[in-house]
Amino acid sequence: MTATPIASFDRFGLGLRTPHYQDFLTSTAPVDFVEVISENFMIDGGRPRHILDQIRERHPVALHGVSMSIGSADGLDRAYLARLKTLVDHVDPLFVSDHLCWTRIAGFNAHDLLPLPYTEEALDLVCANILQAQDVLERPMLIENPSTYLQFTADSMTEWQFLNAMCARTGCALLLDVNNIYVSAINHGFDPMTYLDGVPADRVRQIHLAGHSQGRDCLIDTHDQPVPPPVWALYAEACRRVGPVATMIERDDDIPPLADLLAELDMARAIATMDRRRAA
Amino acid sequence: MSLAAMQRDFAGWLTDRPGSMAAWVDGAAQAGLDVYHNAYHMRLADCLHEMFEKTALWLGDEAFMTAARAHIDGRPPHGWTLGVYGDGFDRTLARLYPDDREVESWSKSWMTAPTGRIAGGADEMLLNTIAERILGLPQDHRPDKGVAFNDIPR
Ligand SMILES: [Fe+2]
Repeated sequence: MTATPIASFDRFGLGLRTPHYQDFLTSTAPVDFVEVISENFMIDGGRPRHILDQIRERHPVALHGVSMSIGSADGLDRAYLARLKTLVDHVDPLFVSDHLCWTRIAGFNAHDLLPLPYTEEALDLVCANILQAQDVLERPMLIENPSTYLQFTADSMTEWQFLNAMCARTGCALLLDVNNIYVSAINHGFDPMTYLDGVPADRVRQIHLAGHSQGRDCLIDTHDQPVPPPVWALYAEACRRVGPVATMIERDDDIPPLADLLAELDMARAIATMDRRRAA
Repeated sequence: MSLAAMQRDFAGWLTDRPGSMAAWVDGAAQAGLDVYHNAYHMRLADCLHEMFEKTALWLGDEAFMTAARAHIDGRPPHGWTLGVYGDGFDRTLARLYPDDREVESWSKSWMTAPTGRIAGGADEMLLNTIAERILGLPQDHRPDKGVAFNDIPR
């Protein structure tokens, strides 16, 4: 399997967060799509699903998962996959995404995106899990590059080499989180431009933008601040390489009024359009 | 490397079980291991804090965090949803505060008001109730954001 059949959707969106439910439900927010956390809606009926249905009437929706655990040595959780499939069939989303990470082993669930070693063994396992998930979901997935805070001594390839092989073997596409590239680059001392040059640009279907914080020893991907200047700069470089793809801003803490996020999204539009003009 | 063995050791690191990550990382990774250890505990403590907000107000943050830590140590999460993670926290609190009727009543209030826990009811019904209370509002479950930083008591 080589080419990914996921169509491009060259637009700008925001994540749906509880403080903004009313804004999204009572007005037509000027966004082209809305991304939601799949797990928050993977329960039948109830208020969350009712809200999602109303949002879906107004906007295309991207389903972004955090618990598939495509890196679990245990394999995937079939009950989880079945629930996700039900949600996918119900929503008819633009994209279905999750992360290059693991969250679960031997019945324990860390509820955190834990890092994988970049080895042939991990690559075989991740590819087998993605193929199984795509089989159940009956569609290709987007896989997001994580922020990581450590590296393994067994690593035999870089993250971007891993992503290349993963896409080629499974037909999946990429959700490129530009902030995660920046955070990992600072934490591990690689050049974010080398990373951007290394990812398969034609596989990128969505971009995440976010802010981070300085921890004691590392940068932490906290999603609690505006997108900072170095991440905007990297976004401009990413646009140059991947061309027009769906872009959205992730904000999960210290969430400002929707208007502030819409202003940030205008910044993304301006950067992307500048690049598209240059390309034309 | 055996990925399964590494992941079991990593889970052990997060949950303070004996065992070692030393086979898988070098000394430079210690700061990163601390970030993951901290994030795991903070996320679960935040989850309990949101579910038991009134109990936290009654106890004060420090005592609440100590209770949360005891609960997290005793009951690592298993399912893909944190919607049921508060189950049994009332028993943890009863163990730590055996004679405190106020703590007991606050700790049960999240389950009982206003719709009531469905005793023996269908799982889905219970899940709906919990979903409305926890997953829909007040905060979304977002383990893909990192958690800063470092004040949960060990
Ligand atoms: Fe992201």
